[in-house]
Amino acid sequence: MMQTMIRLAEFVFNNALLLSVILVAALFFMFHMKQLFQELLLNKKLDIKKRVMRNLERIPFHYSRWFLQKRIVVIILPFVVVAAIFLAATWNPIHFEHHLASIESEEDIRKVHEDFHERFYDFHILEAESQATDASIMRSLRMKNPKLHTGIDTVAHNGEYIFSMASRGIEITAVDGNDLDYHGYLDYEDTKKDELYHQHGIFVDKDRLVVLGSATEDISPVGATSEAYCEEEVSTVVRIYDINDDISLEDTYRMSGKVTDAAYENGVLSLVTKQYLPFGYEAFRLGDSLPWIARGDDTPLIQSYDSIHYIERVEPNSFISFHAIDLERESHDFRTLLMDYQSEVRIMDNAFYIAANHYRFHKITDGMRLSDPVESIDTSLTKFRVDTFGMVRHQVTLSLPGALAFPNGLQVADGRILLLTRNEDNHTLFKLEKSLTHATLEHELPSHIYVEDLFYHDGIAYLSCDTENAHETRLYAITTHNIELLSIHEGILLTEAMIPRTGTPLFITLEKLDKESLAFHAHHYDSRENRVVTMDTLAVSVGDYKFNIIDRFPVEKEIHMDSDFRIVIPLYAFTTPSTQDSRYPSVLFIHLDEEGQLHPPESLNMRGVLHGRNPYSYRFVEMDDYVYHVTPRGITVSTEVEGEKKIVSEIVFP
Amino acid sequence: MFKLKAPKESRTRLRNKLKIIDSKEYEFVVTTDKEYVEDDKINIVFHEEDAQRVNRILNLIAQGEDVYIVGHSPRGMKRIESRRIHYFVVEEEEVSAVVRDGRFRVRMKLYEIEEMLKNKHFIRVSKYAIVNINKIDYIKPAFNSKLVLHMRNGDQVEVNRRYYKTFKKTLKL
Repeated sequence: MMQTMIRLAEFVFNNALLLSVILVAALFFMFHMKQLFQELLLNKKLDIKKRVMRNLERIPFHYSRWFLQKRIVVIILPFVVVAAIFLAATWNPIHFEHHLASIESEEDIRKVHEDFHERFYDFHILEAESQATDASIMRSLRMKNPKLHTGIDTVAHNGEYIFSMASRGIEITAVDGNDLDYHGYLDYEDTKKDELYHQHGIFVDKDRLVVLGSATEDISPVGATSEAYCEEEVSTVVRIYDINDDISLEDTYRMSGKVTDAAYENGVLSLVTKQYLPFGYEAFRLGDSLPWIARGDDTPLIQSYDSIHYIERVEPNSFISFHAIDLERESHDFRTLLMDYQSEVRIMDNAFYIAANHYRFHKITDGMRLSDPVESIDTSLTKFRVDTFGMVRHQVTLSLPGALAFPNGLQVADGRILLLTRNEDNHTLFKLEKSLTHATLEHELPSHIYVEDLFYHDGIAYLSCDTENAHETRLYAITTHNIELLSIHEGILLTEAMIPRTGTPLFITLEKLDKESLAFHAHHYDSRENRVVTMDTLAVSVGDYKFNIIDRFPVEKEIHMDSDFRIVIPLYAFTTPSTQDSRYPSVLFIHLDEEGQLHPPESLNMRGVLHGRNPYSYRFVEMDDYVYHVTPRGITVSTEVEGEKKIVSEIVFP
Repeated sequence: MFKLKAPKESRTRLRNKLKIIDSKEYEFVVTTDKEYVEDDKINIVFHEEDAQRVNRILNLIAQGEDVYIVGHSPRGMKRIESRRIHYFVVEEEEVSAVVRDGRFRVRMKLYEIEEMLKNKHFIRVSKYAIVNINKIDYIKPAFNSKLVLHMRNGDQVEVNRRYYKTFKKTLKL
């Protein structure tokens, strides 16, 4: 009862103006209805009175012209006023075409933002809270560096050089079989003095090295505290080097926002950048936050308002820009969406796929504010493609039922798009074609899961998720007709493999059973039964190999299946008692035999070779008969000598 | 004023012929049957075939005795039948009787006129006006519990808040 009263009071407080107008209109209406009734009654009585008095001049009672015309207008007026208020509240200057709206001015952006947030109670009255929310989001964004999903890596090679990311540059090593030649260290001399630079990764092709990073420059006023609005300009930096010209800097691009995904396909570098817009701060100036791109020392090209679009009913709290840099043509283009910062964006085949929550509000919130104005949430999915001229074009926007499952609810692979949505009761997985014209409903999954990753491999969707209650990572394989629970323990890793004899695709999962033991599972898809089956499991006590996994599993990019059908897993080992210097890099090899059975592991101990800090940052590069193990400290080369894997050469970076 | 009493089967027919509206407080009983006669009222007993004549008699009764008011105009003095007067009004401390197309000064106090015409369907509507109910064309409620009376001649007379209840009561049957 008390709570209902509080809610009612909240509602009245938050809709005071509108309720006052409606109340006045209602009183006006009631007053005129009373007068109308009284007028009818009095004139009727007058007529009867005259008849009783046998008034021979009596004119029968009739409605006067005044009554019929003016009074009706007066009575209808309150309804017109209330209707006008609701119409004014729902009127939107933005014209939506296929869910996509064009923005024409700063005013339009602010109108879209206000139109979205005004439906909630706390938009105006709790300005301090709104600022606090913005501050908290901005702090978390500063700390968090995004995981890039496609193609980009920390180590890459072109057959001639191995490029590996170091703390503030790139180590370059020339390779020729077991011959390693340290070529040099690529530093970023153009980094500004007050700039904090973070490298994300590199792309390499035959002729070019592309280095991607973010630069953060604090431009807040002197004396500003961390709680105040600190202006901070985050930009993405793309450096392009010509490998054939002694790896010299060929071109640079700088663009506003933090890069969240990148891909390098067909000579076109596709990038996604995000900029959060803290509307809650009075000091925030939208005009100064428009997305921009600058090539070399050229004047930045600022995005025009008419190149910014908005997807209907998506939270408009950030700019998300889609860049296409054509390295062959030396041209660039970009489009920007006014979007939710939490949108998921993936890149595949020179196209951007953007998924975001798409809110449907209660109709009443067109005119009134509610604490929970959201009637339902579905997912908006948009595609921008890079055309043959290197221009970024909007292709399609659609919506699918259910809210987007955060994080990683969107994945692209093998020409397919996987979209995981959730509602109160369950999760639903959709599989879509690249054109987004056809969606296949896959399966409904349990409701209380936290999606860690979503994979698509050989027609099967693999979902790695945490359950809300059990805090255990579960792995599901989802086929057209079945959902298989593959594993329920902590720490699941996926890598692709194949049965050597038949070439049948396999999926290897790694499960952490406890602190010192692991289990490897090999799964494959049985097309006759249309289900994923576990064909072999191998339990490994890492203690037997003096290994330990302390706090981190390798990521999928670190896993490698070499040409001998061995799954190569980077780990680091340590001697007991554990000290900083006791750690050393090591490698675990799991053998797959001809039939796809897993065999007990071997280890390659690199202690004494690459000893030191950060021994865990591995990549494996395989060229011809050699496997190059790359760490921040150096590279070792191993090959088979007299039937046994041995380290034949190494280089330590200066 | 009148009450029609007749057997059920002929009552509506007679009512239409005689144009009678029953009053709660009536002085005359109009009937075709002696059995309906009331001792303490004036009874009019008639045959149905005399309905037209009875109708004229009822009109004469309702009209009552003619009362004349002496009015003065620049053209001289005139006796005005009270039925013709729309309302009396006090203007510049003088009482005027307003008729369809003119007005006459009356050398009487307003309360004297009220007393004289109280049975002639005149009613006091304010400190300054008395109106003839038969000459009211339309009643329009106004703000502050007031009424505006639209008279037959196009004039408007306001019913004061003080006389509002009395006016409404008068309209009751």
